[in-house]
Amino acid sequence: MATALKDIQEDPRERALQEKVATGYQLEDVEEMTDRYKDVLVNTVHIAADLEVVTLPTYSPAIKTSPTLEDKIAIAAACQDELGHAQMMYRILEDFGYDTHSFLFERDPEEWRTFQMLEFPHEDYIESVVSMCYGDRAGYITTVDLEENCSYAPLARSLRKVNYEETFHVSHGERWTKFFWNQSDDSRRRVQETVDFYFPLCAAWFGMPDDLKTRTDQLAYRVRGASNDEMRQKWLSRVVPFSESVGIKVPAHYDADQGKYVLDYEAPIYLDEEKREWDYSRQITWKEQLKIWKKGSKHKVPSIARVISEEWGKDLW
Amino acid sequence: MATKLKSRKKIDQKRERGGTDPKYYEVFARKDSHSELSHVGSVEAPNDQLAQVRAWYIYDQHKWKEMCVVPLEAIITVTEEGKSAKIKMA
Ligand SMILES: [Fe+2]
Ligand SMILES: [Fe+2]
Repeated sequence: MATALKDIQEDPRERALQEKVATGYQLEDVEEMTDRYKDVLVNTVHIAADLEVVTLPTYSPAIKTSPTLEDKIAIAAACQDELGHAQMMYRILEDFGYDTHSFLFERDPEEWRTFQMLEFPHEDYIESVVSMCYGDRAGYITTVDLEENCSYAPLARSLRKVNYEETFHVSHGERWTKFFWNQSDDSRRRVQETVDFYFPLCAAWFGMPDDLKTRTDQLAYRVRGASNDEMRQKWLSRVVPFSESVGIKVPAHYDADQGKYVLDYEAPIYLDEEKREWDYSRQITWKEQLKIWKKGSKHKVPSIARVISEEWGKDLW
Repeated sequence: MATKLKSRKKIDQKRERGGTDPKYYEVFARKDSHSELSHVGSVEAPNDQLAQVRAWYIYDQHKWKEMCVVPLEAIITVTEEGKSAKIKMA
Protein backbone atom coordinates (compact mmCIF):
# COMPACT_ATOMS: atom_id res chain seq x y z
CA MET A 1 0.00 0.00 0.00
CA ALA A 2 1.37 3.39 -0.96
CA THR A 3 2.22 5.77 1.81
CA ALA A 4 0.14 8.92 1.69
CA LEU A 5 1.95 11.95 0.33
CA LYS A 6 1.25 13.69 3.62
CA ASP A 7 3.36 11.12 5.50
CA ILE A 8 6.36 11.70 3.28
CA GLN A 9 6.10 15.42 3.58
CA GLU A 10 6.16 15.00 7.31
CA ASP A 11 9.19 12.71 7.28
CA PRO A 12 12.15 15.11 7.50
CA ARG A 13 14.59 12.81 5.67
CA GLU A 14 12.25 12.36 2.74
CA ARG A 15 11.49 16.05 2.65
CA ALA A 16 15.15 16.99 2.78
CA LEU A 17 15.92 14.78 -0.19
CA GLN A 18 12.99 16.19 -2.15
CA GLU A 19 14.24 19.69 -1.54
CA LYS A 20 17.79 18.73 -2.47
CA VAL A 21 16.86 17.18 -5.82
CA ALA A 22 14.54 20.10 -6.58
CA THR A 23 17.62 22.35 -6.72
CA GLY A 24 19.19 20.07 -9.33
CA TYR A 25 21.25 17.86 -7.02
CA GLN A 26 22.02 14.43 -8.50
CA LEU A 27 22.62 11.25 -6.53
CA GLU A 28 25.48 8.93 -7.44
CA ASP A 29 25.07 6.20 -4.88
CA VAL A 30 22.47 3.96 -3.29
CA GLU A 31 23.67 5.07 0.14
CA GLU A 32 22.35 8.57 -0.45
CA MET A 33 18.80 7.36 -1.01
CA THR A 34 15.81 7.26 1.27
CA ASP A 35 13.50 4.22 1.14
CA ARG A 36 10.88 6.19 -0.66
CA TYR A 37 13.33 7.42 -3.27
CA LYS A 38 14.73 3.95 -3.85
CA ASP A 39 11.21 2.64 -4.31
CA VAL A 40 10.19 5.06 -6.99
CA LEU A 41 13.53 4.87 -8.82
CA VAL A 42 13.67 1.07 -8.90
CA ASN A 43 10.05 0.92 -9.99
CA THR A 44 10.76 3.27 -12.87
CA VAL A 45 13.80 1.31 -14.08
CA HIS A 46 12.03 -2.03 -13.62
CA ILE A 47 9.21 -0.99 -15.94
CA ALA A 48 11.67 0.56 -18.40
CA ALA A 49 13.59 -2.74 -18.57
CA ASP A 50 10.43 -4.76 -19.23
CA LEU A 51 9.38 -2.32 -21.94
CA GLU A 52 12.72 -2.64 -23.73
CA VAL A 53 12.54 -6.43 -23.78
CA VAL A 54 8.93 -6.75 -25.01
CA THR A 55 9.87 -4.87 -28.16
CA LEU A 56 11.52 -8.13 -29.27
CA PRO A 57 8.44 -10.35 -29.62
CA THR A 58 6.54 -7.30 -30.87
CA TYR A 59 8.92 -6.35 -33.69
CA SER A 60 10.37 -9.74 -34.56
CA PRO A 61 7.41 -11.17 -36.55
CA ALA A 62 8.06 -8.42 -39.11
CA ILE A 63 11.53 -9.86 -39.72
CA LYS A 64 9.76 -12.78 -41.35
CA THR A 65 7.30 -10.72 -43.39
CA SER A 66 9.37 -7.69 -44.36
CA PRO A 67 9.97 -7.50 -48.12
CA THR A 68 13.73 -7.12 -48.52
CA LEU A 69 16.88 -8.21 -46.79
CA GLU A 70 17.58 -4.57 -45.85
CA ASP A 71 14.24 -4.35 -44.04
CA LYS A 72 14.95 -7.56 -42.16
CA ILE A 73 18.33 -6.20 -41.11
CA ALA A 74 16.76 -2.89 -40.03
CA ILE A 75 14.29 -4.67 -37.73
CA ALA A 76 16.92 -7.04 -36.36
CA ALA A 77 19.26 -4.11 -35.70
CA ALA A 78 16.53 -2.23 -33.83
CA CYS A 79 15.84 -5.35 -31.74
CA GLN A 80 19.53 -5.62 -30.92
CA ASP A 81 19.53 -1.96 -29.84
CA GLU A 82 16.51 -2.53 -27.59
CA LEU A 83 18.16 -5.49 -25.90
CA GLY A 84 21.23 -3.34 -25.34
CA HIS A 85 18.98 -0.77 -23.66
CA ALA A 86 17.54 -3.50 -21.45
CA GLN A 87 21.05 -4.59 -20.51
CA MET A 88 21.78 -1.13 -19.16
CA MET A 89 18.60 -1.10 -17.13
CA TYR A 90 19.57 -4.51 -15.71
CA ARG A 91 23.01 -3.23 -14.84
CA ILE A 92 21.35 -0.51 -12.77
CA LEU A 93 18.83 -2.86 -11.18
CA GLU A 94 21.63 -5.19 -10.08
CA ASP A 95 22.91 -2.45 -7.81
CA PHE A 96 19.56 -2.72 -6.05
CA GLY A 97 19.72 -6.47 -5.57
CA TYR A 98 18.03 -7.64 -8.75
CA ASP A 99 19.34 -10.80 -10.38
CA THR A 100 19.15 -10.31 -14.14
CA HIS A 101 18.92 -14.00 -15.02
CA SER A 102 15.99 -14.72 -12.76
CA PHE A 103 14.40 -11.36 -13.57
CA LEU A 104 14.49 -12.17 -17.26
CA PHE A 105 13.99 -15.93 -17.36
CA GLU A 106 12.27 -17.03 -14.18
CA ARG A 107 9.45 -14.55 -13.69
CA ASP A 108 5.98 -15.55 -14.82
CA PRO A 109 4.94 -13.66 -17.96
CA GLU A 110 1.89 -12.24 -16.13
CA GLU A 111 4.21 -10.42 -13.76
CA TRP A 112 5.88 -8.44 -16.52
CA ARG A 113 4.90 -4.80 -16.57
CA THR A 114 4.31 -3.76 -20.13
CA PHE A 115 2.31 -1.07 -21.89
CA GLN A 116 -0.46 -1.70 -24.40
CA MET A 117 1.39 0.11 -27.18
CA LEU A 118 3.98 -2.70 -27.27
CA GLU A 119 1.62 -5.63 -26.83
CA PHE A 120 0.55 -6.22 -30.44
CA PRO A 121 2.99 -8.25 -32.55
CA HIS A 122 3.56 -6.52 -35.87
CA GLU A 123 1.73 -8.10 -38.77
CA ASP A 124 3.90 -6.58 -41.46
CA TYR A 125 6.79 -4.21 -42.07
CA ILE A 126 4.49 -1.20 -42.50
CA GLU A 127 3.27 -1.76 -38.97
CA SER A 128 6.88 -1.81 -37.75
CA VAL A 129 7.81 1.47 -39.41
CA VAL A 130 4.60 3.20 -38.30
CA SER A 131 5.27 1.91 -34.82
CA MET A 132 8.82 3.30 -34.90
CA CYS A 133 7.52 6.60 -36.20
CA TYR A 134 4.84 7.09 -33.54
CA GLY A 135 5.69 4.59 -30.79
CA ASP A 136 9.48 4.87 -30.59
CA ARG A 137 8.89 8.64 -30.72
CA ALA A 138 6.72 8.31 -27.61
CA GLY A 139 9.31 6.13 -25.89
CA TYR A 140 12.05 8.56 -26.90
CA ILE A 141 10.23 11.47 -25.26
CA THR A 142 10.09 9.62 -21.95
CA THR A 143 13.73 8.53 -22.06
CA VAL A 144 14.94 12.00 -23.08
CA ASP A 145 13.08 13.41 -20.10
CA LEU A 146 14.94 10.92 -17.88
CA GLU A 147 18.30 11.76 -19.45
CA GLU A 148 17.74 15.48 -18.97
CA ASN A 149 16.09 15.48 -15.57
CA CYS A 150 16.64 12.26 -13.62
CA SER A 151 18.15 12.92 -10.20
CA TYR A 152 19.89 9.52 -10.25
CA ALA A 153 22.99 10.38 -12.27
CA PRO A 154 23.98 6.83 -13.37
CA LEU A 155 20.55 6.40 -14.99
CA ALA A 156 20.63 9.82 -16.65
CA ARG A 157 24.11 9.10 -18.04
CA SER A 158 23.24 5.65 -19.32
CA LEU A 159 20.34 7.06 -21.33
CA ARG A 160 22.65 9.09 -23.54
CA LYS A 161 23.39 6.00 -25.63
CA VAL A 162 19.76 4.84 -25.50
CA ASN A 163 18.48 8.13 -26.84
CA TYR A 164 21.17 8.34 -29.47
CA GLU A 165 19.99 5.00 -30.84
CA GLU A 166 16.30 5.82 -30.51
CA THR A 167 16.72 8.77 -32.88
CA PHE A 168 17.69 6.24 -35.55
CA HIS A 169 14.56 4.18 -34.90
CA VAL A 170 12.36 7.26 -35.14
CA SER A 171 13.95 8.60 -38.32
CA HIS A 172 13.90 5.13 -39.89
CA GLY A 173 10.19 4.99 -39.05
CA GLU A 174 9.48 8.43 -40.49
CA ARG A 175 11.38 7.82 -43.69
CA TRP A 176 9.65 4.52 -44.45
CA THR A 177 6.21 5.66 -43.33
CA LYS A 178 6.51 8.44 -45.94
CA PHE A 179 7.78 5.94 -48.50
CA PHE A 180 4.84 3.58 -48.06
CA TRP A 181 2.42 6.50 -48.04
CA ASN A 182 3.59 7.35 -51.56
CA GLN A 183 4.27 3.87 -52.91
CA SER A 184 0.79 2.67 -53.91
CA ASP A 185 -2.89 3.03 -52.99
CA ASP A 186 -2.71 -0.24 -51.09
CA SER A 187 0.32 0.67 -49.04
CA ARG A 188 -1.16 4.13 -48.33
CA ARG A 189 -4.35 2.51 -47.06
CA ARG A 190 -2.30 0.20 -44.86
CA VAL A 191 -0.29 3.11 -43.40
CA GLN A 192 -3.49 5.01 -42.54
CA GLU A 193 -5.11 1.91 -41.03
CA THR A 194 -2.01 1.27 -38.91
CA VAL A 195 -1.81 4.89 -37.73
CA ASP A 196 -5.52 4.74 -36.86
CA PHE A 197 -4.74 1.83 -34.56
CA TYR A 198 -1.48 3.13 -33.09
CA PHE A 199 -2.20 6.80 -32.53
CA PRO A 200 -4.46 6.39 -29.47
CA LEU A 201 -2.18 3.60 -28.16
CA CYS A 202 0.81 5.93 -28.33
CA ALA A 203 -1.08 8.89 -26.86
CA ALA A 204 -1.93 6.59 -23.93
CA TRP A 205 1.75 5.64 -23.47
CA PHE A 206 2.12 8.72 -21.26
CA GLY A 207 -0.53 7.49 -18.85
CA MET A 208 -3.45 9.18 -17.18
CA PRO A 209 -4.10 12.93 -17.42
CA ASP A 210 -2.33 14.95 -14.73
CA ASP A 211 -5.51 16.03 -12.96
CA LEU A 212 -6.46 12.39 -12.33
CA LYS A 213 -3.05 11.08 -11.37
CA THR A 214 -2.53 10.66 -7.65
CA ARG A 215 1.02 9.32 -7.47
CA THR A 216 3.47 12.15 -7.95
CA ASP A 217 6.57 10.51 -6.43
CA GLN A 218 8.41 10.41 -9.73
CA LEU A 219 8.15 14.18 -9.95
CA ALA A 220 8.55 14.90 -6.25
CA TYR A 221 11.88 13.04 -6.22
CA ARG A 222 12.76 14.26 -9.68
CA VAL A 223 13.19 10.77 -11.03
CA ARG A 224 11.68 12.38 -14.08
CA GLY A 225 11.09 16.03 -14.87
CA ALA A 226 7.96 16.35 -17.00
CA SER A 227 4.41 15.36 -16.12
CA ASN A 228 2.29 12.96 -18.20
CA ASP A 229 0.45 15.78 -19.93
CA GLU A 230 3.63 17.72 -20.62
CA MET A 231 5.23 14.71 -22.28
CA ARG A 232 2.06 13.92 -24.23
CA GLN A 233 2.03 17.51 -25.45
CA LYS A 234 5.63 17.22 -26.59
CA TRP A 235 4.77 14.03 -28.47
CA LEU A 236 1.75 15.63 -30.14
CA SER A 237 3.84 18.63 -31.16
CA ARG A 238 6.10 16.28 -33.13
CA VAL A 239 3.72 13.69 -34.57
CA VAL A 240 0.80 15.95 -35.53
CA PRO A 241 2.85 18.29 -37.79
CA PHE A 242 4.69 15.26 -39.21
CA SER A 243 1.40 13.52 -40.05
CA GLU A 244 -0.12 16.68 -41.53
CA SER A 245 2.95 17.28 -43.70
CA VAL A 246 2.68 13.76 -45.13
CA GLY A 247 -1.12 13.77 -45.42
CA ILE A 248 -1.83 11.12 -42.78
CA LYS A 249 -5.02 11.75 -40.82
CA VAL A 250 -4.68 11.72 -37.02
CA PRO A 251 -7.28 12.32 -34.28
CA ALA A 252 -5.55 15.45 -32.89
CA HIS A 253 -4.96 19.05 -33.93
CA TYR A 254 -3.43 22.33 -32.82
CA ASP A 255 -5.89 24.49 -30.94
CA ALA A 256 -4.92 28.13 -31.48
CA ASP A 257 -7.16 29.40 -28.66
CA GLN A 258 -5.52 27.15 -26.08
CA GLY A 259 -2.13 27.47 -27.72
CA LYS A 260 -1.52 23.73 -27.61
CA TYR A 261 -2.20 20.42 -29.30
CA VAL A 262 -5.37 18.60 -28.30
CA LEU A 263 -6.81 15.16 -28.95
CA ASP A 264 -10.05 15.07 -30.94
CA TYR A 265 -11.50 12.57 -28.49
CA GLU A 266 -11.70 12.27 -24.77
CA ALA A 267 -9.65 9.33 -23.45
CA PRO A 268 -10.20 6.58 -22.52
CA ILE A 269 -12.16 5.05 -25.36
CA TYR A 270 -13.06 1.47 -26.17
CA LEU A 271 -10.68 -0.65 -28.23
CA ASP A 272 -11.86 -3.76 -30.05
CA GLU A 273 -8.66 -5.77 -29.76
CA GLU A 274 -9.73 -8.42 -32.27
CA LYS A 275 -10.55 -5.93 -35.02
CA ARG A 276 -7.88 -3.50 -33.82
CA GLU A 277 -10.46 -0.72 -34.00
CA TRP A 278 -11.22 2.16 -31.68
CA ASP A 279 -14.84 2.99 -31.01
CA TYR A 280 -14.79 6.76 -30.51
CA SER A 281 -18.48 6.78 -29.64
CA ARG A 282 -17.87 4.48 -26.72
CA GLN A 283 -16.12 6.06 -23.79
CA ILE A 284 -14.97 3.82 -20.95
CA THR A 285 -14.10 4.76 -17.37
CA TRP A 286 -10.54 5.14 -16.12
CA LYS A 287 -11.18 2.25 -13.80
CA GLU A 288 -12.01 0.03 -16.77
CA GLN A 289 -9.00 1.35 -18.68
CA LEU A 290 -6.62 0.60 -15.83
CA LYS A 291 -8.00 -2.92 -15.64
CA ILE A 292 -7.41 -3.44 -19.37
CA TRP A 293 -3.86 -2.10 -19.09
CA LYS A 294 -3.13 -4.30 -16.11
CA LYS A 295 -4.35 -7.46 -17.80
CA GLY A 296 -2.51 -6.75 -21.05
CA SER A 297 -3.51 -7.75 -24.58
CA LYS A 298 -4.08 -11.42 -25.41
CA HIS A 299 -0.63 -11.46 -27.00
CA LYS A 300 1.22 -10.38 -23.88
CA VAL A 301 1.71 -13.72 -22.15
CA PRO A 302 2.50 -15.80 -25.28
CA SER A 303 4.95 -13.12 -26.44
CA ILE A 304 6.85 -13.04 -23.18
CA ALA A 305 6.76 -16.83 -22.94
CA ARG A 306 8.58 -16.93 -26.28
CA VAL A 307 11.31 -14.70 -24.92
CA ILE A 308 11.70 -16.74 -21.77
CA SER A 309 11.90 -20.09 -23.53
CA GLU A 310 13.93 -18.61 -26.39
CA GLU A 311 11.69 -20.11 -29.03
CA TRP A 312 12.75 -18.02 -31.96
CA GLY A 313 14.74 -20.04 -34.41
CA LYS A 314 12.67 -22.10 -36.82
CA ASP A 315 10.01 -19.70 -37.98
CA LEU A 316 12.09 -16.57 -38.00
CA TRP A 317 14.05 -16.71 -41.22
CA MET B 1 -2.12 -17.61 -12.17
CA ALA B 2 1.16 -18.92 -13.47
CA THR B 3 1.67 -19.77 -17.10
CA LYS B 4 2.93 -23.23 -17.98
CA LEU B 5 5.84 -22.83 -20.31
CA LYS B 6 6.67 -25.53 -22.80
CA SER B 7 10.31 -25.09 -22.11
CA ARG B 8 12.35 -22.80 -19.98
CA LYS B 9 15.85 -21.80 -20.80
CA LYS B 10 18.23 -23.61 -18.51
CA ILE B 11 20.89 -21.33 -17.20
CA ASP B 12 24.25 -22.67 -16.27
CA GLN B 13 25.19 -19.98 -13.76
CA LYS B 14 28.74 -21.26 -13.57
CA ARG B 15 29.29 -21.14 -17.31
CA GLU B 16 27.44 -17.91 -18.05
CA ARG B 17 28.59 -15.81 -15.18
CA GLY B 18 31.42 -17.79 -13.64
CA GLY B 19 29.59 -18.42 -10.39
CA THR B 20 26.60 -16.98 -8.60
CA ASP B 21 28.16 -13.59 -7.90
CA PRO B 22 28.20 -11.26 -10.86
CA LYS B 23 31.48 -9.76 -11.99
CA TYR B 24 31.47 -6.28 -13.47
CA TYR B 25 33.66 -4.50 -15.99
CA GLU B 26 33.65 -0.81 -16.86
CA VAL B 27 33.93 0.06 -20.54
CA PHE B 28 36.06 2.91 -21.89
CA ALA B 29 36.29 4.09 -25.49
CA ARG B 30 37.37 6.91 -27.78
CA LYS B 31 35.83 7.81 -31.12
CA ASP B 32 39.01 9.02 -32.83
CA SER B 33 42.57 9.93 -32.01
CA HIS B 34 41.56 13.44 -30.98
CA SER B 35 38.85 12.38 -28.52
CA GLU B 36 39.39 11.54 -24.92
CA LEU B 37 39.15 7.98 -23.76
CA SER B 38 35.91 8.13 -21.80
CA HIS B 39 33.68 5.92 -19.79
CA VAL B 40 30.85 4.62 -21.96
CA GLY B 41 29.24 1.95 -19.85
CA SER B 42 29.38 -1.18 -17.81
CA VAL B 43 28.95 -4.90 -18.46
CA GLU B 44 28.62 -8.02 -16.38
CA ALA B 45 30.73 -10.97 -17.55
CA PRO B 46 32.34 -14.09 -16.02
CA ASN B 47 35.72 -13.47 -17.68
CA ASP B 48 37.77 -10.95 -19.66
CA GLN B 49 37.02 -12.52 -23.02
CA LEU B 50 33.24 -12.38 -22.59
CA ALA B 51 33.52 -8.87 -21.19
CA GLN B 52 35.33 -7.82 -24.39
CA VAL B 53 32.63 -9.34 -26.57
CA ARG B 54 29.72 -7.96 -24.56
CA ALA B 55 31.21 -4.47 -24.44
CA TRP B 56 31.77 -4.48 -28.20
CA TYR B 57 28.22 -5.59 -29.02
CA ILE B 58 26.33 -3.56 -26.45
CA TYR B 59 28.16 -0.27 -26.84
CA ASP B 60 28.10 -0.29 -30.62
CA GLN B 61 26.66 3.19 -31.07
CA HIS B 62 29.91 4.40 -32.68
CA LYS B 63 32.68 2.86 -34.71
CA TRP B 64 35.13 3.26 -31.85
CA LYS B 65 38.78 3.82 -32.62
CA GLU B 66 39.72 2.33 -29.27
CA MET B 67 37.81 0.42 -26.63
CA CYS B 68 38.91 -1.30 -23.45
CA VAL B 69 37.37 -2.92 -20.39
CA VAL B 70 38.54 -2.71 -16.77
CA PRO B 71 37.38 -5.01 -13.98
CA LEU B 72 35.45 -2.82 -11.54
CA GLU B 73 37.41 -4.32 -8.64
CA ALA B 74 40.66 -3.09 -10.20
CA ILE B 75 39.58 0.54 -9.97
CA ILE B 76 41.08 2.28 -6.97
CA THR B 77 39.01 5.22 -5.81
CA VAL B 78 40.63 8.48 -4.78
CA THR B 79 37.66 10.71 -3.98
CA GLU B 80 35.56 7.93 -2.47
CA GLU B 81 38.19 6.29 -0.35
CA GLY B 82 37.34 2.82 0.82
CA LYS B 83 34.22 2.60 -1.32
CA SER B 84 33.71 1.01 -4.70
CA ALA B 85 33.82 3.28 -7.75
CA LYS B 86 30.60 5.06 -8.61
CA ILE B 87 31.27 5.51 -12.28
CA LYS B 88 28.76 2.91 -13.42
CA MET B 89 27.19 3.53 -16.77
CA ALA B 90 28.03 5.88 -19.58
FE1 LIG C 1 14.76 1.30 -26.52
FE1 LIG D 1 13.51 1.95 -30.13
